[in-house]
Amino acid sequence: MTRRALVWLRDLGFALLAAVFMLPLAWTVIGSLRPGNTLRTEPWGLPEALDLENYVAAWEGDIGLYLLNSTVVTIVSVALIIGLSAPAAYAFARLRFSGSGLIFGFILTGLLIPAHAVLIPLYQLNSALRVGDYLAIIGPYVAFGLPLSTLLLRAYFVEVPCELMEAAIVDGAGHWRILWQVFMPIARPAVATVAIFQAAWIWNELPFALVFIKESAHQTLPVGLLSFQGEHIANWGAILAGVTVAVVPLMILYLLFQKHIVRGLTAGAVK
Amino acid sequence: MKRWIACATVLILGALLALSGCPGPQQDGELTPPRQEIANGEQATQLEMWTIWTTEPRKGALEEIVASFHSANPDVRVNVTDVEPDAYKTRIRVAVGSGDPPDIFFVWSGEWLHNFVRGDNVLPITDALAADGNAWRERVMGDALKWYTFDGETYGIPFLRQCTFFFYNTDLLDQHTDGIPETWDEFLSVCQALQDAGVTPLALGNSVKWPAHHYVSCLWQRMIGEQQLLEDFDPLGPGDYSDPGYVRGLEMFRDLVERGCFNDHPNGTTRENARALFYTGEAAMFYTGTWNLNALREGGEAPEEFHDAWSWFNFPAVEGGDGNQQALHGGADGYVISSKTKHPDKAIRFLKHLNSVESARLFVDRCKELVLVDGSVTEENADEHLRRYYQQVADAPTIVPWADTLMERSVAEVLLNGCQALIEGTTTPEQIMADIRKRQAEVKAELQASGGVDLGEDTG
Amino acid sequence: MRDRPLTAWLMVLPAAAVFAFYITYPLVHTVVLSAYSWSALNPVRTWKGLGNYADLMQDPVLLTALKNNALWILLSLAIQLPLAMLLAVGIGSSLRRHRVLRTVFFSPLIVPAVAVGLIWTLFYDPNFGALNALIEQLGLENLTAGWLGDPQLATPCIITVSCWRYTGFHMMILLAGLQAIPEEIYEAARIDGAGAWRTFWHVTLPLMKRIVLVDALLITVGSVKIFDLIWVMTGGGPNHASEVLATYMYRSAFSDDRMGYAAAIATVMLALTMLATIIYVRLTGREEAAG
Repeated sequence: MTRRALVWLRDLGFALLAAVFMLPLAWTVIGSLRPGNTLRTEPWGLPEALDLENYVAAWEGDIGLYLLNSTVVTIVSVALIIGLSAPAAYAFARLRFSGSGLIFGFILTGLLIPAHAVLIPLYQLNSALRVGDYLAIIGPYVAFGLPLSTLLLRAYFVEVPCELMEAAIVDGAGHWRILWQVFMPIARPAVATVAIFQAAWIWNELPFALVFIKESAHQTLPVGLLSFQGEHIANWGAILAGVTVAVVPLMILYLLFQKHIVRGLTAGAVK
Repeated sequence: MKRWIACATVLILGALLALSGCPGPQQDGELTPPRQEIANGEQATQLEMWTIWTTEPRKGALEEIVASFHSANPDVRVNVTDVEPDAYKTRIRVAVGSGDPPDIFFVWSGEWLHNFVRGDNVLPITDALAADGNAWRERVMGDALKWYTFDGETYGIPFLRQCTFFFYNTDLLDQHTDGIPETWDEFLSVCQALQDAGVTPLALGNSVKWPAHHYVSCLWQRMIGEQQLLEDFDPLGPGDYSDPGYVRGLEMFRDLVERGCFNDHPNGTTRENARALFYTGEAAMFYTGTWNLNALREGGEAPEEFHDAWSWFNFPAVEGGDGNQQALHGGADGYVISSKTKHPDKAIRFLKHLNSVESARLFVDRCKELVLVDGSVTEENADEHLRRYYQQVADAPTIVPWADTLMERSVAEVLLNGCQALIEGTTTPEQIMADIRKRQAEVKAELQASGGVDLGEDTG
Repeated sequence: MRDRPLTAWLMVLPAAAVFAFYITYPLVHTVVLSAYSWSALNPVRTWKGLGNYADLMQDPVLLTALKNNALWILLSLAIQLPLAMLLAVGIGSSLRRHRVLRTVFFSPLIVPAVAVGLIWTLFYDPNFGALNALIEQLGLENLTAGWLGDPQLATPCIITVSCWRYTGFHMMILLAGLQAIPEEIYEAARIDGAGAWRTFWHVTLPLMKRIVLVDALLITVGSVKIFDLIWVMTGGGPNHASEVLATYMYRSAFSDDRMGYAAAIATVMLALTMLATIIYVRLTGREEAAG
C-alpha cells in the first residue's frame, strides 16, 4: 500500500469517527426544528418544513435572559480562576519554598471533591454571608475551578525554559512582572485551554446553580432549560431549541480560542 | 524559617476556618430578615412561594390566581419561584434544612409531607380552617384534608388530585376481548386474549422505578385492609408487614411479568416512551396516573386519530381481598406554610384565596386538572373526561395513597428497587418483604433514638 | 534560582484562601456531620460516632457502587486514554487541516447533561431506539437488549456515553503535551530509519509521560466522582445496578433523607480520591527526581 493510500485511509477513519461524535449534536439541531411530540415515536425523522416554533417557545421561556446570566457568571468566574491560579501555578512551578508540595497537594484535593459533598454546608455559608445570587455561585465556581487550572498551568510553567526567566531577572524584573509579562504570553495556549475547559464546565454546571440561585430572573442556562420540563410532560422541542441556543456561544468561543492554541503551540515557545 | 512558615499557615488557616465558622451560631439566633421592598412607594409584605409548576398551563394559571390575590390584597406581594420537580426535591430540602425556607411551598402528600411536619417545619392551619363555622374546611372535596392531618392538626391544603387507572385503547379492547374486566381473573383473561391476538397487553415504563410499584401498591390495597396498611406503612406504627397479602401482591405482579404481559424491557423504558407505546397502539392498556389525561386528549402529544380511542377503568377487584374493592388509588399535591414565616396571617390569607372556588374554577379551566374544591369542575370549564373523573372521585368510597408515598423514603426505596429486580427475575417476593422489614426496623430505631419523633412530646 | 518565600506566599495565598473557604471548610463540616444521624428537615442530630461507617460496611449497595466505580476507572482508562492519544497524534500531525475535526471531537463536552441524557436514552430505548433498530436491520434479533434497563449492560452503556463526551477533552490535554515535543527529535528518529509505530513508542510516549500521568489522574478522579450522566440516564438503576458512590450519596441525602449516612459516603469518596492523588504524586515525584 502506498503512503498516500495510508494517509487517505487514516483521514477516512477520522472522518467516520468524527461523524459518530457529531451525530448527537446534529440530532439536537435537527430535533429542534421538528414538533416535539414526534421525537419519541420517530426519533430519526427530518423536519418537514423550516419550523421555528420551538425557538419561539424557548424565547418565550426567557432563554435570552438565561443566556445573559450564564454569560456574566461564566466570564467573571473564568477571569477570577485564571487571575488566582496563574500566580499560584507560577509559585508552585518556579519558586522553591517550604510547604510548596503540601499546599499544592492541598489545592489538588479539590479535583477530587464532588460538588454534592459540600452542597449543604455551602448553602448555609451563602445564607450566612447574605451574598446575592451571582456571588453565591461564582464563589464556589472559582474555588472548584482552581485545582484543575493550577495543575495544568503549573505543568506548563515547569516547561518554560530557564533562560527566559533568568534573562528577565537580569533585567531586574520581579516575579510578578515575570509572571505577567513573560510567562503568561508564552503560556497563552495553556491559558486558552484552561479558559475553555472552565467555561464549558461553568456553562453547564447544574447542582450549585440549582440550589444557590433564588430568584428566577437570575437563573443560568442549565437551570432555565430544566424549567421546560414539567412534572409529567416536558416540552422536548423547546428543550432542544434551548440546547442549540446554549451550545452556539461555546462553539464560537472554542473556535476563537482554538486559533490561539494553534498559534501558541506552533510558535514552539516551549522546550 | 521553615517553622515560621508552618506556624503562619496554621494560624491563617485557623483564622479562616474560625471566620467562616463564625456566622454559624449567629444564624441560629436571628432569622434571616424577609426581603422587604417598597413596591410602588407603598410598604407591602413580601411572601416567597415555591412551586413545581414550571410549565404552561399550570404556571400561567397560578400567575392569574396570584394577580387576583394582589388586586384584592394590596398589602401583600406573593413572589412565585418555580423549580422543576426533581430539582425541587433537593432545593426545598436544602432551604428548609438550613433554616431559610420560603413562606409558602409545594408538597406531595404522604410521608414526604409528614417528614416536614415531623421536623416542625410546617405551620398548622387547623384554626383557620375551622373559622366561620368550618367554611373553609367544608369547601375541600371529600376527606382530602385527612391526608394533610397528623395528630389532629392540619398542615396545609391538598390542591390537585391525581389517581391511577387502567387507561385502555377502546378499539383494541372491543376487537379482541369480552369487555372491561371487573375482577383480577377477568383482567388476566383480557391480557391473555390480547396476547393471543398479538397485541402487547400492558405498557410499562419503569426506568424511574415507581410506575411498576403502582400495580403492587394497588394489589396490596385490594387484599389487605386499609387500617392494616396504614399501620404497616407508618415508620413508627405498630405494624410489621406480616400480612401474607404483601407477598401475595408481589407474586401477582410477578405473574404478570412471567406471562409476558408487559412491553419488552420495562426497566429500560422511560415513562414517556411507555405512553408513546400506548398511543401508537403497540400496547392496549397503560396503568398510569390522571396526569396523562392532557397528553392523550385533543391538543396533547398523542396523534390526532387517537384522541377518541381511549378510556379508563378502575383497578379490578381481587376476590376474597380484605380491602375496599371500589377504592381509588392516588395522591394529593398541595401547599403548606413554613413554620418559620414572619407573616402567618397573610400567608394563610393567600392559601385561602388559592383554595377558593373562584381560583379552583379558573385553574380547572386553564389546566383541565382536578382541583380538590367542591364544585371546581363544571359543564363550562371541563370536558367529559375531566367531568367523569371528578364524579368518580366524588363517588369513591375511599381513596388510598400509593404505597411509596406513605412508606418512609428509604423503606419505599427498597420496595421500588425490589419491583425492578422482580421484573429482571433477580429476586423473590419473600426476599423483598424481608428487606422491607429489616429496613423498617432500622428506621424505627433511628427515629426513636433521634427523639424528634413524637410531636406531642416535643411541643408539650 | 533565588528563594523568595514572601513573594511565593503572596502568589499562593489568595488561591489557597478561596479554596479553603469554599471547599475545605464545608468539607470538614461534612466529615463532622458523618458522625451523626440526622435529617435535613429536623434540627435534632443524634451522635452516632462511627455508626454510619459501620452501617456502610454492611451495605450491599456500597459494594455494588464500589465495583461500578472500579469498572468506571478501568474502562475509562482503557478506552479514553488510547483513543484520546490516537486522536491527538492523528490530528496533531497536521494541525491546521484538522481544526474542524478537533472542534468536532470537543463538541460533546459543551452539550448540557440534560440534553445528553435525552439523546442517549432515546438511542438506547428498547422499543423505539435506534440501537435495537440497527441491530435488527443487521439481522441479529437475538442481540437486542434492554440496554439501560439491563443490570449487566447499564453501566457499560453509560460509560460509552462518557467516553463519547470526554474523549475530546482528554485529546486536548494530550495535544498540548504533544505540541511541546520539538520537531527535531522526530527528524532525528526519521533519519535513524524508525517507523511511525517505533517513533511513537520510543520517542513520543516517553516524552509525554508526565502529561499522560496527569491525564490518567484526571480520568481516575473523574471516574470516582462521576454523577450527572448516570443520574440523567438511569438514576443508578435498575435496582442499584448502575449505582456509583456519588449517585448513592445523592440518593441517601436528598431522597432517603439520611444526611449523616450520605456524609459518610462522601467521606469514603474523598478517601478514595486522596489515595489516587497520593499514588499520582508518588509516581510523578519519582519521575521528577529521576529527570
